[in-house]
Amino acid sequence: MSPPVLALWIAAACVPLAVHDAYLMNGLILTCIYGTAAQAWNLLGGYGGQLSFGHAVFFGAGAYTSTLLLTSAAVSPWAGMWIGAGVAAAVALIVGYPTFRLRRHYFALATLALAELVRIVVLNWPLVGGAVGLYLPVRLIGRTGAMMWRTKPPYYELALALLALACALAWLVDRTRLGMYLRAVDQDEGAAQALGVPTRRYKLLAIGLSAGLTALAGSVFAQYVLYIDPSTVLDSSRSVLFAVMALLGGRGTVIGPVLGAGFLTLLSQYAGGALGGLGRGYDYVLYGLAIMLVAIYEPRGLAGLFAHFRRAGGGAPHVEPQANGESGAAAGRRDAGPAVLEVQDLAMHFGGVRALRGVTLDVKRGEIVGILGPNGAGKSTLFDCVTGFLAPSGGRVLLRGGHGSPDRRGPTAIGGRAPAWIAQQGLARTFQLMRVFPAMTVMENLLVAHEHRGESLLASLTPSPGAAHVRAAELLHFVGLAGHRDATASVLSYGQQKLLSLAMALMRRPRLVLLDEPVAGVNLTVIERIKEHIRAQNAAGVTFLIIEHNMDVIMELADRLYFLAEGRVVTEGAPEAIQRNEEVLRLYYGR
Amino acid sequence: MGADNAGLLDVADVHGGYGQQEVLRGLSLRVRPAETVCVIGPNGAGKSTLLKMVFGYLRPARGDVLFEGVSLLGRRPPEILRRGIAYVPQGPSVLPHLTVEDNLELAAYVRSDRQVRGDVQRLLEEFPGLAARRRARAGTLSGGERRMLEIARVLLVNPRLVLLDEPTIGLSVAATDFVYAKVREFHRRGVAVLIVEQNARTALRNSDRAYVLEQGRVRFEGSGEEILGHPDVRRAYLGARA
Amino acid sequence: MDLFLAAAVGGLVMGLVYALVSLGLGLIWGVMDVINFAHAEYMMLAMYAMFFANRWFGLTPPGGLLVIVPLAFVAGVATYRVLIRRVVQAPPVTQIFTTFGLLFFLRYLAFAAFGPNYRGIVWPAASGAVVIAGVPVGGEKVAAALAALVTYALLHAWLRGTKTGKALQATAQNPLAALALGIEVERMYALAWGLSIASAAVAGVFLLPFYQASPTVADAFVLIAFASVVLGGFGSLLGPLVGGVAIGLIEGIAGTLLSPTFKLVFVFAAFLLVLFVRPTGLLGRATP
Repeated sequence: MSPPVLALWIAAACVPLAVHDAYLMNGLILTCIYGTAAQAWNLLGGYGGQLSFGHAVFFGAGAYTSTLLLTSAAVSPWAGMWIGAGVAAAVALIVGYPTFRLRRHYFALATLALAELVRIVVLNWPLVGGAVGLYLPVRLIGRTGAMMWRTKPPYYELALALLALACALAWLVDRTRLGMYLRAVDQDEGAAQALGVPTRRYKLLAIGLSAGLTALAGSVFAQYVLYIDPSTVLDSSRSVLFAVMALLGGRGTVIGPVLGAGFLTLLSQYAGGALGGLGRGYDYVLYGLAIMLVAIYEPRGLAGLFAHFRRAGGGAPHVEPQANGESGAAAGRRDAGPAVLEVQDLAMHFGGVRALRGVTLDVKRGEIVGILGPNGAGKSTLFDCVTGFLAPSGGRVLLRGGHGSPDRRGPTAIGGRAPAWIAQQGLARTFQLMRVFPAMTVMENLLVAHEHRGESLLASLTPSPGAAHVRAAELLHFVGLAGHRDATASVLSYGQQKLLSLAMALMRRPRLVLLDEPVAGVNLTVIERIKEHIRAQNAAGVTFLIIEHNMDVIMELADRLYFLAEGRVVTEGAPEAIQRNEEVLRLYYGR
Repeated sequence: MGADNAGLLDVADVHGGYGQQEVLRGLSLRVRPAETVCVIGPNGAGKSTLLKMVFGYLRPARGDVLFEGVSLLGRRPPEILRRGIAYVPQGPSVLPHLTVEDNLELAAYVRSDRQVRGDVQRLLEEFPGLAARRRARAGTLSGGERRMLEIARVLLVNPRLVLLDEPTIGLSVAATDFVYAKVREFHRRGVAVLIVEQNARTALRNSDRAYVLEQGRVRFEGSGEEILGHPDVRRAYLGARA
Repeated sequence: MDLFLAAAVGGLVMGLVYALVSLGLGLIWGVMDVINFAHAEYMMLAMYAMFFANRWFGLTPPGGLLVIVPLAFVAGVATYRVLIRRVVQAPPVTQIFTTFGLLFFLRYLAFAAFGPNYRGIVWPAASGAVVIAGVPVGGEKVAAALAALVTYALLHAWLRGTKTGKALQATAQNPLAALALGIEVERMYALAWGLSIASAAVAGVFLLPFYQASPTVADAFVLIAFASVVLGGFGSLLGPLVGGVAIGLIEGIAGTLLSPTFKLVFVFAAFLLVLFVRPTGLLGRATP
């Protein structure tokens, strides 16, 4: 933590020495409590882009758990609040598991519905207070053991400490791999999966942390206001409040939720008086406007004003690449080895369309195999079946050699498995409609593409390993993007993005790389470069399976070609043979 | 460029593609009134992109597209349709949940005259395959029937130029013949046609002139027969070594 | 059995009201895949408009319709032109927050302008009970249910029978093909928004006689409207109708026979079930 930031926290802790106005102290305490919840929401919705409108459930879970434990079992809130956090995290995981499958809009609606469901149940459940709510035992006021005090400063320090914890967690996420992975999930979950990121695991981690933290805020809230009921802690307006604070302040940043919470809480306390004193909500009208403006024009919200607190990519020092500019796997001969990939009689039907009708092909180690064919032949569908984006309707896909020693293990059936798992077996791919993470830097794009096999949850809370940075720097140098390592991917030209996506596919030293039209849409210079890169990698032992229409390129690069039409392999052979093949010409050129 | 040499459609040195992609690299071609011109070439050569640029779905990064002497740049598809160009896209473009009859009526959207109903009925007589299915939802038509519908739609707006993007892809021989019979009919009615095809031979046989595209540029140009017999065309399709 | 019948009839009537509220939401969702979180706020504003039309000019719902619905149409078009068209191509997060901000904006505008108090009107012509299948139902509710049926019928006929209606369908089914036919997709989107908000206004106007207006009245209907659309499925105009009636019936029957306090729980549980099991809904066509 940098000195200025530390100084800020210390100054904040000293505030009660200078401020004695109870009204202001109340505002500050609530700011810290809501700020904690907003920061918690930010972990899931800001970084991960999974918008929950049901966070009140977790807030209420914390408040109700610690309060019930206190009133009925005399458990100290200092322990009760952690139990509440555990309860909330458990609920979050159970809820998250099925709902994360849904599209973003549906996820938002599902969380809204779930929260309302819980609120109504609690409202009608006398055992937990029902509509009457729960009163905290005021006879305990003044006992620190019961987390109740007569004056405001202790509450303030507690709430501030909680906010500090929340910000520390957010800072950790922001600076480590978890933040990068969550951002990748937000920007393009499919692309992240293709790189081997087990996205569901990280989403669950995020919602678990988010829920637990929100529950802590709920417990402290209960201890402060001394009365809770469904309308104060379980209402959808709470959920919305947390989300809006994070959004206005700047989602996906550490400081955003704090700014948002301060802005909304304090300003509404005081602006209500300034704007005619009627408390009629003029200020919220402005917030509504602000939300719309922020959503459309400046996603970084208030934090966007503090843009000079710019993060560096993963916080690692600049690393110089090794000298030789060629960075494949351990050098091997280019003789074709045993088959790395075997596709046997693969079939794929959807919605009455038979996209693949029994495709059989193989790719041997060290080869460059090309796939040609007219539009609609099923080439991209083939890739999707091999890489797990589609589950084949029939046939088998076998990968040999997995990870570890090349031929010791038998073939692994990968058909129908999840994309992230398949990627972790040593397969990499690019997409026809190119997919990089547009709002992350070039370096971050590469770091997300690093090996994920065996990466534990705990490891995700650390920055990317040095080896990843070295490898990324090597590849950047290799594709000629070294000067752009800190540029945001969306500002690169199309050709540069194509080079980036190639580099990303190579990060994990994959056994087999599937390229879908690697030179489409780029200028002739970049075409040459990509061709050279593929050649260089192949010389270093990387095996390629390439869909390409550019005949000059594919005929030169490929050792063997398969020609696909109408979902079948029509013929295969060396480039010279294909070029002289009458049937191929007829299929391409017509009757 | 003298007035008598001016084309109905002039594509002048067009560069560009989707977003920042470079697909067309300086493409120029011309279609004269009532001509049938086909553009052939391998995938990725830019054929579909060309048609999308003419019809206003995409904007060229450089270059110009002129129709009857007026630049089409910056104009959106509905306006270009009103100027006299009709477009049949490559993929399915029928409205799947509307009936065949509704699809035809909608095709005359830009017309406000009263003869639409009559024209639709006459059209159904010309396309007996469609008449039999007039009340079926267009999404239930076979591939060939769908193409028929898409081509029939074009006839309702009396265009001066028709753009066909791979009209026979995935079609049976019979359906392909039917499509080209219609193309010849356009020709007879004085409507210019610009066809993009991967199945080149049939298109070449039915065209006045042809262009062979490769890597976003015109490689060869000539009459349909010339291109049909041209040995270098094979190279364009399958790479330099052939 | 009588209890069941009463619950079913009541649920059906209320379900039609829900269907009316959800009509516009489903329309926008189906045409341009945008979920308007602020939809019910427009209904709320229409309720206030009806209130003032009644207080100042003595209008009742039929009269109120003539004035308020056209205004609502204009408001819908304006909302599209000023705000929504900027986020049609934007990622889901942006869209969600934009309409959420709109919700805030409209709701607190109402707070500021009208204050937090409840407002209602009396509609003498419709007061009194109407007997349906032996079950007495409040006249105002029946009027609202009838308004729902009429609105759906009119819209259905318009969509199927007019050139512009078919053009709107075309825009929903394949916007690129629609462009190729000369249909101005932007105008169609604006039109859809106008219709959507206008239908929300019809709902508000007929709701007021039996449901009081307040700035937060939308809360009671938002989730139900979403649930109706999801349950009934979209891509089809009749989806929200089926969904709304289904929700009304679930609420009524489960509420009466199982537990009144938990009736919404059944509704939301059904909603979640549909979301997980069959997201395209009962009538829905798969949306890409």
